[in-house]
Amino acid sequence: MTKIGIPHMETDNKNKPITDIQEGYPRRRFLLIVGWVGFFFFSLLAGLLTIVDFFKPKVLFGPSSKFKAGYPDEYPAGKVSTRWMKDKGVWVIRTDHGIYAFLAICRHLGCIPTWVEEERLFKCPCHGSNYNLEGDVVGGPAPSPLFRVAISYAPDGQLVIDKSVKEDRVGVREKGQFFLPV
Amino acid sequence: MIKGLKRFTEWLVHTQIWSSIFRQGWPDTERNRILTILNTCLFHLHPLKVRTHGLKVKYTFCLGGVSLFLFIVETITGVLLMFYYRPTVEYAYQDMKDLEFAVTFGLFLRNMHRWAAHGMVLTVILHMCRVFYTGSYKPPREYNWCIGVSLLVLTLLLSFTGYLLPWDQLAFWAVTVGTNMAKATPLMGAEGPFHILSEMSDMCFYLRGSVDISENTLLRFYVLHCIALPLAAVGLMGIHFWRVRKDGGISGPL
Repeated sequence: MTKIGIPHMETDNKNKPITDIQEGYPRRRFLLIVGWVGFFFFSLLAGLLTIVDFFKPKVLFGPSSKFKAGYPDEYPAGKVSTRWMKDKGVWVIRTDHGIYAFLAICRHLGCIPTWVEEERLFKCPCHGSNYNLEGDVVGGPAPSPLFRVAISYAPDGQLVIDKSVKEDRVGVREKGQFFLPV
Repeated sequence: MIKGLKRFTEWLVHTQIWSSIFRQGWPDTERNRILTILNTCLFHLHPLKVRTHGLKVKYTFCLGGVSLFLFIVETITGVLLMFYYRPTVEYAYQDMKDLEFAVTFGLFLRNMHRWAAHGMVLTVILHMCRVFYTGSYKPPREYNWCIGVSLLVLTLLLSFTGYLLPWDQLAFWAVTVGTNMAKATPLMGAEGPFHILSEMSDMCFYLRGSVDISENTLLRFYVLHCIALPLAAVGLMGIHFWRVRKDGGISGPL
């Protein structure tokens, strides 16, 4: 008969047949529990993450978030251009110093505001949020200012607007990739 | 006349067709009535016997039964609508309009589906109120109360997912606003408190299958609305009804 056991413990249990590893070997029992708990924990975790990952689409079909918006000269200074509103949902604004662009999504619940030239305000029809030319909220329930989006030059001199890069923090939104000096 | 009827049922229960479908005789004795309930697949969910107070309309108002009835109406009209509806950006709105103007009884089917849906939300909520006010959530019925709450949530989710399918302005913006709320989820939402996930991997993105409402969203909501949520609801309803029986029938007046 082969004996199961660790050599130094054999003296203690010499006359006792080793039947129950739970009694004589606390370390083995511990490792057994840790092993199985760990195995099931990581199996479940991996399974769960796989299922979660399945529901995340890997390819998005739809218009690119980047688009060419024509040459800077096409935008008169001091004006809010609604040229790309219908197709892209972006306002392009040219001041005396440069060009920036707003994402036309209300920060309250995501409706599309409209530019009202007479009042010089972006006004949301859903719940009446108003934004000024800086994108800051001047009325209504919106909790944050309008997002500005990244704007740059293409090699051919046209403007390139990237809607996936956006910023609304004061001090960051007025410079860098969110403002194009002209 | 009665003798003739008796002879007829006597003959009927001994035919092979009857005895292969029903394994007991005509339910006119105590034994056969019990066997009818026990042997029939759908009846076995039902309590063996119903107490007299259970028949009082003013105690239950049959709100659970009405909810089940409306669910069956939704299933039948929904399956019929599916024959003419394609969940794509190109066709969804057009198919909805075709259902209204070109399909035989299409307008009637669509309206029935819509009103039964509204009605079901109402009756399920009222059913919950009734169960609460009669104290029927108390032991031994706590588990069934929880199943019921899940069924209420499923009813609301079915309503919400169905709302996008007409793919009109109302649907689009209602679901835009509705799914935007998921962005405010703590941790899991891109704009919520303690947010750690980006706009491309938060709760809202998983709901929509894209950053904005898109074809992915329409397909997602369609599959949830027509397959996943109804299957879950049917499963839970089976347990719900069976538990009514196991918990001693409907609760009695105090």
